[in-house]
Formats: sequence, structure tokens, C-alpha cells
Amino acid sequence: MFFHKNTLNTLNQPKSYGFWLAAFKRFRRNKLAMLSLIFILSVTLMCIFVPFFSHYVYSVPNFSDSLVAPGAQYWFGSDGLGRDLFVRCFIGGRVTFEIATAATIVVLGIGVIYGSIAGFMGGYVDSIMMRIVDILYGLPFLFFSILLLTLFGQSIIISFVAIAAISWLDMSRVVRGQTLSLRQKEFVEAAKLIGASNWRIISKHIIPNLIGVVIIYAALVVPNMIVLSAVLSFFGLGVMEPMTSWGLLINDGVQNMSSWWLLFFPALLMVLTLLSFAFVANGLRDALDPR
Amino acid sequence: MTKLLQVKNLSVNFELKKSWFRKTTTVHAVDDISFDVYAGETIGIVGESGSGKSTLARSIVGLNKVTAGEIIFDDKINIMQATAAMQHKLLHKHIQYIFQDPIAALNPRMTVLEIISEPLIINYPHYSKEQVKEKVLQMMSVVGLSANQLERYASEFSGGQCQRIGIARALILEPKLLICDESVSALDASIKAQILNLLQDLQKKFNLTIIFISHDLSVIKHICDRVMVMYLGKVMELSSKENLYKGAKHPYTTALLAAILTPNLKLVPTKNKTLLEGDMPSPINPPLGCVFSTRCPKADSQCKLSRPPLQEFADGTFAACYKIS
Repeated sequence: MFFHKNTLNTLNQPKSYGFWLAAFKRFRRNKLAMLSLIFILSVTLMCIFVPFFSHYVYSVPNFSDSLVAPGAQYWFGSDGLGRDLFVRCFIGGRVTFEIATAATIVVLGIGVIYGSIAGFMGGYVDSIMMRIVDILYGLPFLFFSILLLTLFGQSIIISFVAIAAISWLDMSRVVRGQTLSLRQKEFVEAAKLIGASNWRIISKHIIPNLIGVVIIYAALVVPNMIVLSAVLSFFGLGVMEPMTSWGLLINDGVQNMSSWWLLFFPALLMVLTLLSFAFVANGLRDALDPR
Repeated sequence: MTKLLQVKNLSVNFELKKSWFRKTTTVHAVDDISFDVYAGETIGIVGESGSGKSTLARSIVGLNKVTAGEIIFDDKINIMQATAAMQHKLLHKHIQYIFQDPIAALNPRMTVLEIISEPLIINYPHYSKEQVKEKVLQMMSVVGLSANQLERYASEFSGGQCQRIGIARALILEPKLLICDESVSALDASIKAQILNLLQDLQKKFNLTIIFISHDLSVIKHICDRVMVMYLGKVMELSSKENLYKGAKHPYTTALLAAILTPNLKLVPTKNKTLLEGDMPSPINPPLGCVFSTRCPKADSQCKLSRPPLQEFADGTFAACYKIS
């Protein structure tokens, strides 16, 4: 036989290499991005499962074990109230990821729909919609976030959804720019000629072709939201004791500099996570927009 | 013969706004063109780039705004005055368009099934999934695609196959008029011939009328019954294929024919072989007289001062030139 068995199989049944499979193959070749993705996934899994399986509870103080250095008993050490930092790091990560995910979903939803409508309609609609974005850009962001957090203080998720609702501006601009170039494409004209409605063109022809850009941008929004939540917790807004978040843990660490582990572990986790998101975004860009 | 499409005094201008302080300039892309398309024929539109061929075709299907004139379909419906609902019914079901770049005309995120079935889903929402799929498969075999390519993406096909998909999408609504805008220019010579033959077969099968736009006179010769020659947004000559290739009336057509590259020298009138020099004038400032007068070897002061009307000659040819005896 001249052909390998697999070659013959592919000849008989042409298999479709979809866009996503090809993109994943390109992504997998990028070792740093792959490693970062694995890191993010394992941190996520640990955030979900560590609080269940650890025999320490994040909220229960144990005053006899105050400020124990990292070791066999407390892997990451314990804080001033004798709580296990390992569990607290991952319960804090859970809160941080929840906030970042919720905020990113809202940013994506509003940004993509707003941007693609503005870009596709063009003319006056586009001008008016983009001027609104410009005005929102003018709002002092941190001040506005603090204001919203004091208004919605009870629920962290809701308050972050509110914050996301004013951070979709960049997203909508990116999407609008892409849409402007997409709507000149011949396949969009072809869709007009077979009688597709504007909404159908946007949802079936424009948005699916934006996905590459949007995913890359989303991978950049997530770390932004993590940083923002950390900044606000650092100021003592948002998450309340005994619940915690990475920002709050870092804040604790800064106030107890003599116990280095209180600052070191949450900060290390956060820095590595942010770096990983940056590498994943980079890898996604190379994989989804091969140029 | 019945007239399927009548174009009357059609003009398409584009406004170019340079800045806030300067006057807007106007590009006369199509300037006062009238012609009829008869049912069942293939009419070719030729001309250099920038002569307004594509603009003309795009205005017929409503992709461009028309500045003045009328486009009447099927002797009763004026496309310009049609309401949105009527346009929807009329344009999309009866007039379809095939694009120049076969790959760019297909959505890279859609499978062949999704692409070809989309016109049916939009225009016949009551069809069941099975009905749609059956029709798509039928159409695919008609244009020479095989059924196992149904779930593939457009990026996996060659240009010629993409053009077949584009043709299938256009024909699945069973239109009466098909507009091919440079539809084979982007293809290799052998694929070009395949697609041209396919179009001819489909024309017989579906009783199509075709407006075929090309800058390639040998392609036009292969497929068209009548030929319209355009230059700078105006019609220079409109004649049957036989008359045109036997002996063109207009000096511009003669020059175009002289420029055909062919291994067969008999095809080209070797006498008076004049090749054009220079470029087409800007459509922002068209010449005062005959638009071709700046490059025409026969032009004199009369041509430079007044525009020759399109007049009919004894053999049924129309040409816009003072110098034809």
C-alpha cells in the first residue's frame, strides 16, 4: 500500500477543518500561551474546589494560630486572626473571578451589539451613537465606580455589572471599527441582495466575523476587571469581611509587612493570573487573526 | 421580443466631499444611459476600469443610489419607485447578482449549506428544513458541487468552486435576470471556461437573461448576444455580437478590439490597428464634447465641442460618434 490508512480515510470522507479547529491548532503551537491557559484553568478549578476540600474554613478565626509562617500546617501561612491563607487566597480568587466574569460578559454584550449597530448603520446613527460614547468617556471612571459601589453596596456582582455597563466603551469602539470594514465586504452586499434584514446581516454576517477580535479583546478585559476589583477592595469598597478578594488580601498584606506571606501569596497569584491572561490574549490574536 | 429590463436616462453621481471649506465635487460615474435588455438574451457590457460598468450593474440591483432616471423591470414595475416591500419581493426574487471576487462574496463563517440555503430561508420562511436541504442539494448538483461538500466552509474551496457556490446562491431563488459583475475575471483561464460554459447551460435550463460585465472582449464574444461598450459613464456603441466583431463602428470599440491578446490573428482586424495612448479623463471633469475625444485618433473640433448622440445605423447598431460614415 502506498497510502497510510489515515490518508485513505480522509480521501474517502473529506473531513472539514473548521475555522476553530485550525485556530486551536495554531494556538496549541504557542507554548507560552498554552501554559498560561493551563495556569488560568487550574487556578479557576482550585478556586472552585479548594474551599470545599480544605479542612480549614475561610471565615473561622483561630486565635492561637495567629500569623503562623508558611509550613506543613498552613501552606500559605495564616493571617492575624489565625485563618488559613491558602483557603482565603482561593475563596478570594473565586470572588475576583466571579466579578471579572460577570463584568466581562456585560462588557461583551453591550459593546458588541452597540458597536456593530453603530458601524453597520453608519451616517447619522453612527455619529450620534459614537458621540454618546465620547461623552461617557468624559466621566471620571474611578469616581463613578466608587459612586456606583456605594449605591449598590449590598451586592458585589450587581455593582460590578453596573461598573461594566460603563466600561464597554473601548469594546464598542473596537467592534465598530471592525464592522465598518466588514460591511464593505462583498458577502454583506450579497446578503442584502438576497433580502436579508439589517438585523439578520448584523447577527449572522457581521457578529460571527467579529468573534476573533472580540475574544482577544475579552481576554484583555478580564484582567482589567480583576485589577479594578482589586483597586476598589484596596480602598475598602465592595467586598466585606469575612468574605475576601485578592485586592482585600493584598491590602491586609500591605498593612502587615512584617509577615511577608500575607502580601506575597495573594500578590503572586494575581500577578501570575494577569500575566497569563496577557499571554493568552496574545496567543489568541496570533491564532484567530493569522496574518 | 419582450423587454425584461428597461433603463431610461440613468445617471449615477457620487458626491465627494473634500473638506468643510472646499466645494463638493461630483463624480459622474454613469451619465444618462438608456438601454433595453430583452428576455432570454445575454447582453455584455465592456469598457476599461472606471467606465461605470459596475456602477451601472450595482444601481440595477439597488446597491447604489441612483441620481436620475428610471429602471423598469418586466415592463410594469419601476424599481426606483418601488416601495421597500415591493423591492424585497421583486429585486431579490427576480434579479440576482454574481460578484467579481468569488471568495470575498462568501461569508467565511458559514458552511456551504448555510450560504446556499440563506435566500430560501429569508424569502420562503414556510419551507421545512428538509425541503430547504433538498433544494440546496439539487442546486449544488446543477452547478457541479458534490453533496459531501455541504458542511464545509468557504475558505476550504478554490476560487472556481467558490464561484459555483455563489452561482448556486444566486439561482436558488430562480431569478429571471442574472447580473454577472466581472464574474470570471478573478479565475484561471481553464476555470474561467468551465464557469462560462456552466453559465450558458444554466441560462438554457432556467431561461435566464444575463447582463454580463467584463473588460475582456474574448469572454464577451464567447457568451453574449449583444454588446454595449461604455466609456467614462457613457454608451459608445451598442450592437449585436456579429456586427461588433465583424467591424466595429466606434473608434473606441475598434481600439478595444485591437487590444485583444489572442493567438488567432484572424480575430483582429489587422488594418488600422491603433492602440490607445494615455488614460481615461477624470469622471469629475469629463470633456466638454465627446468623452472619448481626448484619446480618439479621429477627433476634430466638432467632437471636442459637442457630444455626439447615440444614433442607429442601417445594420441595427447604435453608436455615438460623428465620424462614422
